[in-house]
Amino acid sequence: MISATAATGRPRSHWRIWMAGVAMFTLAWPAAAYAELGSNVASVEADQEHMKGTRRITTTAEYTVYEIQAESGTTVREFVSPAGMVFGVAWQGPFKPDMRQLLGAYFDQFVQASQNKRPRRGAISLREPGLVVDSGGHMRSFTGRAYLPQMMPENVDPAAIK
Amino acid sequence: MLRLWFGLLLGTSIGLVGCGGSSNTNVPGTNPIAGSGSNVQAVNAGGGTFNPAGILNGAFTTVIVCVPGTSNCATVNGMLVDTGSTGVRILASALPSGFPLPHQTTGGNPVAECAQFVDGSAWGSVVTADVKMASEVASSVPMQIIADPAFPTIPAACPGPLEQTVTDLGANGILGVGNFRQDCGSACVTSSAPGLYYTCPGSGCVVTTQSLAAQVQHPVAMFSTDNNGVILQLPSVPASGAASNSGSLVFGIGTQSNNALGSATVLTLDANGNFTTTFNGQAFPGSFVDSGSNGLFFLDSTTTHMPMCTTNTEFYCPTSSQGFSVTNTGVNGQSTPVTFTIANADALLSASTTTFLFSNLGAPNPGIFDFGLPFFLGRNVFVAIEGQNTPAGPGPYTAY
Repeated sequence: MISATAATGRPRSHWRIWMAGVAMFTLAWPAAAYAELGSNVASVEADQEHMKGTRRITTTAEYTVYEIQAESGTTVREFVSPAGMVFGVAWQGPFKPDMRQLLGAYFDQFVQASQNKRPRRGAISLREPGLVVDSGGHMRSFTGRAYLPQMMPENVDPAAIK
Repeated sequence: MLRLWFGLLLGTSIGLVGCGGSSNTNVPGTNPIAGSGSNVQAVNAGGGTFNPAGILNGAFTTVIVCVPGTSNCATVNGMLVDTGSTGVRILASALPSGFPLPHQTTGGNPVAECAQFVDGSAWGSVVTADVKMASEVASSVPMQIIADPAFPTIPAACPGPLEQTVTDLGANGILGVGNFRQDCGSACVTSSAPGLYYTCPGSGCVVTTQSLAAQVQHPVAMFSTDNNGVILQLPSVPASGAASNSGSLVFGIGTQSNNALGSATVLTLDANGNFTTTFNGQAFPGSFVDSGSNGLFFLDSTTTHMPMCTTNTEFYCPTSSQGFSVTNTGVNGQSTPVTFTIANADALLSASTTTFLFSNLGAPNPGIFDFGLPFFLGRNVFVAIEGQNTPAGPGPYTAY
């Protein structure tokens, strides 16, 4: 395990407190660390430092995409608004990313909403107040995305988050 | 949804749908179904006592697991037949209390697993068992006991939605008979990054690597014969659905007189186990068949022009039934068309409390076609295991 704290050189909890209103967790981070949905771009930049050579940045007029090739073989994309907030995340690859870490403060809402859909099996497509999650695929091939409609920059088509 | 579907369960009655008789494998409703044989395992789909959580569009069977090399065995019904995963996974609650399947160990410590399904994760120990189905036996198969009380602490990195109960899982266990030999493969041999396998000293479970042979295995690949794949055979249902029906899980492809490919089209799969579905001229390369998905999960409202339901909010609710025509193409360039219909799920599910099988239940899945159990109703679907030879060449492939 490599913690994000070690990668950034400053306590992660400091950032959390600084970002009042974001729920707090104390977590061990797997080797491939991601920024959290709804979190600040600072966490993405910390991850970039942590994951040298595994990140690609693409900038459009409306947002910036940080693409991480995780050690597991799965690609994670983080969509950051001009205001510096992670408003969307997407994943594709043989293993699911750590959803708790990726969805951050929205993880509990995701789990609760998913459980309300049971008993069923198959792809998850949630349209919750303030949270959209699509999760598809099968064992050894997973694809999905999550985004925050209220944080979407103007003129961004949700279909772009993939 | 939870309330509605349990309501359906309370009103269950069982009916049978007759089998078709001809041999055209591409037209639902005309598929021959193997009646018996040393390689034929009975499958029940729909509603009934075999469906312990009362899920819609589930196919179930019964598996016998034994302490390796002994006659100390347990019979587990309510096992979901899942061509979208690999491995035998049984809830501890579905086994006799204290049933002594030996824990797998690494470095003297027991091994546990966080198994990944599309809709959640299952945490439990890795054990070995002799697995018996039809007249076939797989010896000392690494498998998972979900919610094993010996490993109650679920690691934070194995996040939910967790599937630790019959309700969560929709079954007493999962019989994963997909295209892969193992549930992880080579990625877990060299790295713990996939986050599947854990070693569990007394201080707590931590992620670890896992050799191919020690990973949770495809039980059919470990049979001494008929070990190159399976055929799931289920009868068709009318547009209004059916309470239940019965079919077969046939072991082997082209190994006996009852499991020939015949005229089925072979679609070889990419490294992730997918083929390409083309719809309206657009290719969707991450597509697949999966009997463990309980609907036809594909695209989205914008692309399909179907609104979402107001009651069963995760399903499509077209104002009138809508037909779709797509083409599936394998890595080998072979292709075959599929036509299907999506009906209004609110209307379907409110019309009857005893109907559990629907060929026309659809839900979104942006950018992907997941041909779930409705696709299997009325088709014989071949699932060839990676690296295993068959008359059409080695797996992995899907054929129908």
